[in-house]
Order: sequence, then C-alpha cells, then structure tokens
Amino acid sequence: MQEEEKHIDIIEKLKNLPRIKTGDDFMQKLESRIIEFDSEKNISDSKSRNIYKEKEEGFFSKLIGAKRKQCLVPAMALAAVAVFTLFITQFNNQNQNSQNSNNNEIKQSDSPDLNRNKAEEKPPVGIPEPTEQKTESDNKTERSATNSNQNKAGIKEVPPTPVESSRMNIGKDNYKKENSDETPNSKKSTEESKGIIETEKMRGGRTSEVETENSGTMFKAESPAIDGKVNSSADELKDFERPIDQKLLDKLNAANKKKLDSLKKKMDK
Amino acid sequence: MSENTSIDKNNYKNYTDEQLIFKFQKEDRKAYNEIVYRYKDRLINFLLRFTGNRESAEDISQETFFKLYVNKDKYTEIAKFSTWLYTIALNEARTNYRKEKRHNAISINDYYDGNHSDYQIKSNDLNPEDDANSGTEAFHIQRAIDSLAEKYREVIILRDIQDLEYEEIAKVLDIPLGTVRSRINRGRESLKITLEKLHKTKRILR
Repeated sequence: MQEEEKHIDIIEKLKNLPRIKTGDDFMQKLESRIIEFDSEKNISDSKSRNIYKEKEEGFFSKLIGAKRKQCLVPAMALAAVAVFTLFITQFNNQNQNSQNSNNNEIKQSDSPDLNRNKAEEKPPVGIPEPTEQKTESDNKTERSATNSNQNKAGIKEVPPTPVESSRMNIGKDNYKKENSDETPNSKKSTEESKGIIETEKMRGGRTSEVETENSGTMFKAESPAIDGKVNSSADELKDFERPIDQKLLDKLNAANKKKLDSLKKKMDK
Repeated sequence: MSENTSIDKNNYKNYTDEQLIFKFQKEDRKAYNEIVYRYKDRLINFLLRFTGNRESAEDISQETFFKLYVNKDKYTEIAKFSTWLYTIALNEARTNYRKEKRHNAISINDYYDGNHSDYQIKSNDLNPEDDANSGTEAFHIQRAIDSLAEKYREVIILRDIQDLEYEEIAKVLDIPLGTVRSRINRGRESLKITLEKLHKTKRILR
C-alpha cells in the first residue's frame, strides 16, 4: 500500500486514460467468423461421417449396393453356388485319382511278391484224374502253364476258342462235383484216383512230377469255379493262378498221406 | 446483432461469468453473446494499451472471443472465468507482438540488402483520433507504456488500468505473487522516469 501511495500520481494518470469502445461491426465480424467456422465444421463432420460409412460398408455391400444392383443378387448367388460345387467336384476327382494311382502303385509293387508267394504255395502233391477228365484237365493245365509263361514273358493272353471254353466249363462242372466231398461221385472219383496211383506205383513206383503239378494247377484252375463267378475265358485263365483254398489242400494232403500209407503197407506185404 | 445482444443482456445479466460459460458449454449461444458483451470493451482497452494499436487490439480481441467459442469445453472451474479469458487474450497479444517485431526486423534487413520495396518502418500505430490527441497527456502516457519492457507493461496494464487483483495477475501470468508486486513497482518506477523524460522533451520542443 505504501508503494501505491508513493506512485499515486502515475496510478491516477493510468486510471484516467481514455476508454475506448469496440466498433459497431465488432459483433458482426465475430458472428460471421463463427458461422464460417460452423459451416466448415459441419462439412468436415459430414465428410468424416461419409468416410466412416464407406469404411463400415463391406465388400459385398459395395459390390451390390443398397440401391444400385439389386437385380444382380440372385445371379451372383447362383454363380457363387456353381463355383462352390465345381470346386467340391474337382477336389473329389483329384482325391479319387490320387487314391487310384496310389492303389495301382501298391499293386504293381506287390504283384511280383504275390506271384512268388503263389508259386511257393503251389501244392506239391495232386490227385490224378480219371482218364477222360484227365486228358481235358491236362490240356487246360498245359494252356494255363503256357499262358502263365507268356504273361511272365510279357506276352498278351490269347482268349480261348469257343470249343476250349466249353471244355473248360465242363472241367469246372466236374471239379464242382469232385469237390463236393459229401456226394457219392466224389467218393467214386477218389477211389478211382487211388486205383490209378496204385497201378502207376506198381508199374514203376513213379508218380510223375508233371502229374502232380498238373493236378495242382488243375485244382487251381477249378477253384474259381466253386464260386461260380467266372464268366469269360480270359478271366478263367487269370483265375488259374489263384491259390487253392487251404482247407481243400489240407484235405487232399490228408487223403494223399493215407494213400501213401496204404501203398507202403501193401509194398511191405 | 446488437438487438440480439441487448435481449441476451436482459435475459442473462443476473448470471455470473462462470454460470454463463457453463451454459455456453451446453450449446447456449445467448450465454456466449452475454460473455462477449460483458468483456469486449474491457479486453479491447487492455489490448490497446498492450499493443498501442487499435486495429491490432480489435483483431486480437476478435481472435480471443473466437478461441473462447472454439475451446469452450476446455474451461474448468479451477480459476475465475475472467482470469482464463485474460490469459487467452494476453497469449494472443504476445504472439502478435512478437510476430510484428520479427516482421519489422526482417524488413530492415531487407533494406540493408538493397531490397527497398519491403522496407517498412513501424509507425506508432496511431489512428487519426490518436494523432489529434498527440499533444495530450494520454498520448504521452501511451508512449511511456509502449517503451516499457513486456514483463512490466503486462503487470502495469493489468493492475492499474484493468484493476485486477494481485492474485489474479499472478494466475494470468502464471508467476508468483511476490514477482507480480516487484514487477509492478519497477514498472511504475520506470514509467515515472520515462514520463518525466517525455515532459522534459515536450518543454524543450515548446
């Protein structure tokens, strides 16, 4: 306060300075500036809103649009479904092709071993056929043997003539009869075969390898006929290579053993 | 516009400044008009004494009220509304003053480089009205205020012309109260000296 008293003359001079007033257009200027600012703000707000809306709109809404291309909606839906189905079918085809190729590869890789196994599995001993049937079966076995050899050598199989196929069918029928153990015909045939073997043995003690092999192949060839699924001669020829059922083999082996025992006894006597 | 403001005045004259600004924050344009009506003359006088130029004072006060309109939501009830408004005005005046100072310096440099076209000597920014009063006491006092350093000029104007309290000045300038007091004293001292010098020269000229 003392300081203010000291400078009281200057303070009075400052306080008595003339006061001015704003011009008449002061408020108008301010108002116009504010209006300009508000309009700019509104424009920028609307722009930002539009940008935000554009951002919110997704790909499909842009593509179709609310007002623009509504007629295209079903066509686009159909096209989408078509593309989807095409994709699925192609995908499945590719899968199937790949599976098939894999299977083929596996078969190709396995086939030599299988053939070898089949060759190993061939029964050593066969039952000789009656005379008439034997000749037919011999022919078959010879053919199958040649065919198998041809196959091994890479030669194509020649389908049999109608006469041959009829013969083969007869052979199948006979085999069916023979293999039905419980029928009386089978018993007869086994007895006949026993007699033949006995006579052969008595002659020179020789059971030819060819006969045994043939008998084996004969059984092989006729085994598919049991199922009755063979339709063509080419299939039949292929089926010659199929392995014999294990049960049948066992039975035949047992019968052969019995026969051999009986022959031995007779020889001893 | 003047009619509108008079209507606003009648409606809002009983409100305090703080109530008005809070109303304006709720998008009440009449409250804003009332604030402008209350403060436009006070601000223009403060700015005229600070800048020494009426046009600049009007421009700065326009800018201050426009900033108030744009940044109305930034006001919080920490300080008085008048303090907040004076702070805005003072900051605007400072930037304007520094800009003009820089502009004058560049113009003089251009003159010495040979570029005469840009050379402008700052006049004393007196209106014809001021020119008419050039021989009066007010003219000399304004000259003395202009000659003061910025920090003394601010406090002298706020205290002795605008009648603000010491505490309020301290808040506007964001300086301690003691600094305000000392600056006011020194400002008055230097103002007294410059006025005496001016009177001496006036006597010599006569």
